Amino acid sequence: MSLPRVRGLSQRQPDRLPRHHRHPLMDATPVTTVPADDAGSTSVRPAVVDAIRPRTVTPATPAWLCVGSAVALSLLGLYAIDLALRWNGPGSAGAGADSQPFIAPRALRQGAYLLIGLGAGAMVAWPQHRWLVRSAWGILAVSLALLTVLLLPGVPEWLVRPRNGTRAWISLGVVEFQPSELAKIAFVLAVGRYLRFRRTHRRLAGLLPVALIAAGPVGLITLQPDLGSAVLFIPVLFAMLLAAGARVRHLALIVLAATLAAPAMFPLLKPHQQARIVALYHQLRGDRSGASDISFQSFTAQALISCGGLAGNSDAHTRALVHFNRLPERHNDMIFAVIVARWGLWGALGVLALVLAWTAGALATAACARDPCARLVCVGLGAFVFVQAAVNLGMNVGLLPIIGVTLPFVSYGGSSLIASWVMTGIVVGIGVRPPVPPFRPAFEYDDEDS
Amino acid sequence: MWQPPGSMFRRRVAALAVLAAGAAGALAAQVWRLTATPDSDLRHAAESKLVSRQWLPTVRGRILDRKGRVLACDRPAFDVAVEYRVLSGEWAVRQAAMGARLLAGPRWSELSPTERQQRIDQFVPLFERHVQAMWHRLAEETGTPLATVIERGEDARRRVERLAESVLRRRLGRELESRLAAGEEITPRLEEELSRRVRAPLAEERRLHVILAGVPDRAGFALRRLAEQTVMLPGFEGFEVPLLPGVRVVDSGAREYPFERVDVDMDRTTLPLPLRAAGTVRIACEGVAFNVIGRMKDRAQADDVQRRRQRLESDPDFRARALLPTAAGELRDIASADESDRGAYRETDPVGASGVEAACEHDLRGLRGLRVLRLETGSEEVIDPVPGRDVCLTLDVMLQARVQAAMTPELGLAIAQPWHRGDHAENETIRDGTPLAGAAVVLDIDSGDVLALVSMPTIPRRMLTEHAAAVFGDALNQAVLVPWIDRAIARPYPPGSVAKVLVLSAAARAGRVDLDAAIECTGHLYPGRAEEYRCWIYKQFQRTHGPVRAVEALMVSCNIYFFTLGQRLGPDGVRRAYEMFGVGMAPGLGIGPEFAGQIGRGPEGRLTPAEAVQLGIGQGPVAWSVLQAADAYATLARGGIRVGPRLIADARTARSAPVDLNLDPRAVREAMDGLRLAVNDPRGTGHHLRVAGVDEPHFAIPGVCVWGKTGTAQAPTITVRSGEPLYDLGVDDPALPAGVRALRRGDHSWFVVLVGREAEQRPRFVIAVLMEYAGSGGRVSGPIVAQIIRALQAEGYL
Repeated sequence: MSLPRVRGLSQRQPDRLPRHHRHPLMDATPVTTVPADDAGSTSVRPAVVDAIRPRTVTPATPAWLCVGSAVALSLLGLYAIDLALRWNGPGSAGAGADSQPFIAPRALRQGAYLLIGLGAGAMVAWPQHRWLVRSAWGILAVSLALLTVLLLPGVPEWLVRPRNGTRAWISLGVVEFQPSELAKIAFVLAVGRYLRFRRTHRRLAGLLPVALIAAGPVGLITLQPDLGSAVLFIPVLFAMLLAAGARVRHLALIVLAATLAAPAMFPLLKPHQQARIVALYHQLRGDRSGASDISFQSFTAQALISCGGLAGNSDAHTRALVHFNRLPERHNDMIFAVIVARWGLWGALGVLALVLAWTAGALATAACARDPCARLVCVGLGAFVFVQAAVNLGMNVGLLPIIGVTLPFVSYGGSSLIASWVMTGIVVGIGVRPPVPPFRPAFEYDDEDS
Repeated sequence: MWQPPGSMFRRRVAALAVLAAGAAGALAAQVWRLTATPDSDLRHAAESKLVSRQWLPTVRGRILDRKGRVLACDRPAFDVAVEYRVLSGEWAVRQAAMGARLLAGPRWSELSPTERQQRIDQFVPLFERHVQAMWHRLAEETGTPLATVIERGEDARRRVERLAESVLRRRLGRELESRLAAGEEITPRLEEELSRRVRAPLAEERRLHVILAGVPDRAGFALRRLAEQTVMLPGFEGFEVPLLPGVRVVDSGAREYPFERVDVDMDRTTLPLPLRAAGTVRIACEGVAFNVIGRMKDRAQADDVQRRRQRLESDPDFRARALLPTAAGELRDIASADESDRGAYRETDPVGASGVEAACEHDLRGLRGLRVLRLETGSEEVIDPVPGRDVCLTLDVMLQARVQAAMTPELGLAIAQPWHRGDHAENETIRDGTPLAGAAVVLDIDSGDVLALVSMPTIPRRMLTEHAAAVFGDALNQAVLVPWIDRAIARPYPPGSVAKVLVLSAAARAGRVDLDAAIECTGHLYPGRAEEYRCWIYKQFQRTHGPVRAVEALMVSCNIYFFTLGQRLGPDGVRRAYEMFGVGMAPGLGIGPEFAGQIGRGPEGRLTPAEAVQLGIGQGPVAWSVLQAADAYATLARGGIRVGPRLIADARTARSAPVDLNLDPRAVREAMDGLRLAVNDPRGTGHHLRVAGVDEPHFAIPGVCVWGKTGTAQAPTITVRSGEPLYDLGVDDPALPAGVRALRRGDHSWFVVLVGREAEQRPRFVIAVLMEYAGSGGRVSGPIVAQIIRALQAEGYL
């Protein structure tokens, strides 16, 4: 099928259809018949009403797979946080029947965040996703602005309080908010929005504008410094480009160039980052000399994972193991180690399966979606959740350096949990909408994939 | 809703899904790798954090003498030890880094490496001053001069640095060699990688180093309290450092030797005429029984660890006692037998280094207790420590001290004296007044118990702790005195005439002598060859003994008689004669190296008939130890029953069954008669000491009867080569080649005496005395033996 060349939005033609239904290809593409009531209703209602009160949903969508796995992971996270932080054995600070908390305070907080996250997800899923797509640039601008605020020198301490030398949190009184989580969503929306009607990215030079979109959040987050979060954007961008039909050979060329350039970049890293990479290298070669200092966190996580064995340990024994091994960030970055200590290999496989289920749900939703932007957004979100989870698990099992990346839905942290649920909401929002005419095959090119 | 197949977007989404599944597979594989091994080290590491183990100290067993006197015991004591990282200065740098980081707060990550280093460098002196203050505090609390404390620390640091350097060089060399051998090219990068790998810290760099040993209890308690405290250094709020960084007060269980120094009053009226005076003289004996008790070293070496491991493997009973009981041993974190060994050597554990301390190390060493606190449940198990077993010796330490006093140069018997020489010229290598080295053994004949085992010179322990380098580095000690060698058991000596009685007994048993027939002493064995195989009386006075029978021959120590017996016995017979009495077999006291005795030349002990003749009078290629001499005489006194000497009175120590040599009873009787006459008849060689024309019997001691034999044995010359340290002290000797001088030459002086109560008329104890290069057996050793007999009386044995 030969497709007309798309030239931005200049080909828009006025039409009686609501604005969001107008499509540059309408005239050129065969239009599928739309059920009369739907077409009729949308034709008379203002866009904003349509956006907030969708009438038509498709209940059967792979996006529900995301919701299911997200719920399972979130509940698992609540329990694991409690497991990681609450120890009521002999000699614990709160020993004595009265003072023992029923649940770890932070698990309770996480529960509250989960409720907020569910609400936020529902709010995002409810309106037409076109609304989100339209505001993509705006959201990106807001998140970039917030990221910039973090780095401004004159910002008072009460607003931006550095932790471990990283300026990543904006204090909102009772809660703290991590703009980089918002930036993830904004980035996916923006890239989807940018690529939706283009084919420039099929040329090598055309990849440059996309790289510039990524450069904003990646650069600002790197400056916090939070290199761990920043690097997640790169594979996500590649996944979206790949889905959008970029030529594989271009992407391969970039990967190859980056691989070759990596050793040259090594000296630019901060000393502690270099030390971690060197430590990982030695650790992978079986050198245990760093087990008590530089690689302590990694070794302890692996030790706890080892303790899980195939079948895991009892609740009480796991709590004791986690407590007395003093694993740093055990409720947070290293929560996976706690889960494996509790349920063993089966627990690990369960977490992997749930993460894969979420990703599969998002990818399947993408495959089902017709709107080009929605397609890319689903791919991007699926990639984000999976890449982040994979990096986190890699850290836990000693395959990657410790770079402070959380496990989506499971790790403690409001911003991360809420952002993950918003992502789920977006996917669901896309999934439950029936395709809106006119249909066109987006990102389908005749030439071979390379 | 799926799009038809062939959609590029779908294909790519599917490819992403496959990529994700692949990554998930890799992660799952790694989790499987970590979880599938049930007994991995990682797992042990994590589980071990749930159990807190605390070893409880124990004490080393005591060493007791035959009367229950404590010769060695543990006394609770404290050592002050300091961690190596404090000694090396690493602590100050690390603390400075932590402090700088803390002060910089979040801005730390913004600093460049140079700025960071500057900040760290700025704080290092502060922490170094804190370490200095620690040294001051240690000096103050223990009352030690500050300079001494600091110097000890520096010594420890230098020692470890030297060790580390040599070990690292060796490790790197080995690695490079093996790489080269494997055909690898040695690039600078590989070299760097290897040197990083071999730079694993040494055990010494992690362990504590004792700076002040045996500090008083009060100081120990005070320092222990102080070591628990932390302080905040000025300018570092919220950053606490220990008041005494790296200092630990450890229970050292200092070893005490109550009889190390014994004052003995000697009756001067009993001394030979030239020394005789009224009243007593107090002799301070130091290092009493040092050769027997031995000493401790302050930490275990690889061979000590190895020996303990071997014992654990070879002795199931020992293992059952030493290893943790099963319940505690099943702890997951106690992986190896080494870790569950309650007596395993830990950093500041002292170890027996010589003597009984080393020989009975495994018995003396106590077993630690263990407190196991299971953090998960709060339950506690305690295994009580087991003190080490006491070791009882057959030694009588007071007798030992008296014997040592008799052999102390201050008394005058054990230095070269003009009256030792008789008519002979002065021995140029041992001028008058030179202290004599020697050994004395006192055995109980009935039991074979060693009552005293003295080796002179001995080493006072304080010399070893304070001036060890001087003791071991001294040239005279190395060449001649060797005070660290037990002369009673570990030095070979030619037997000389004291062996004649054994040759007689063996010849009678072999039927090679007619006790009724006399042998004519003609001055020299072979007619017409007056220069060899001569009798001593012919050599000295150009006289002969005439026809002598066995008893007489022993009494006058006639060489011709015993040359003849040697000739008749031949090489094999003479060898059997010595072997019968234990020469060639180590007595096995179990307190350290022993000389087993040697007959003949070379490892197979070749003997020519001519040498057999010499062996008849105890000369030629034959050597034994003083203990073997005493043991041989004890065997004879028992009528030919060999029991073997014993020093460690312990039922667990296996003793070989008594052996009957089947000696001819008449020969034994005649031999004993000969020995009796040798010291009781005025013609006997061991009867008297002639000083200034007056004959004084050696053994005019009321209440005892004695049997005995003197020996004056030609000894090998100790030489020194030109260029060696003591060359100037040496004496030119025509028998030696040019450039070689004699440091010691002459004859060893032997005297072996059997003594009993006069009323019983049977020997109860053997006394064997040997004085090196001292000349005449009777003149030098006789007075010493007499003092030992008086010592036996004083201690109630006679």
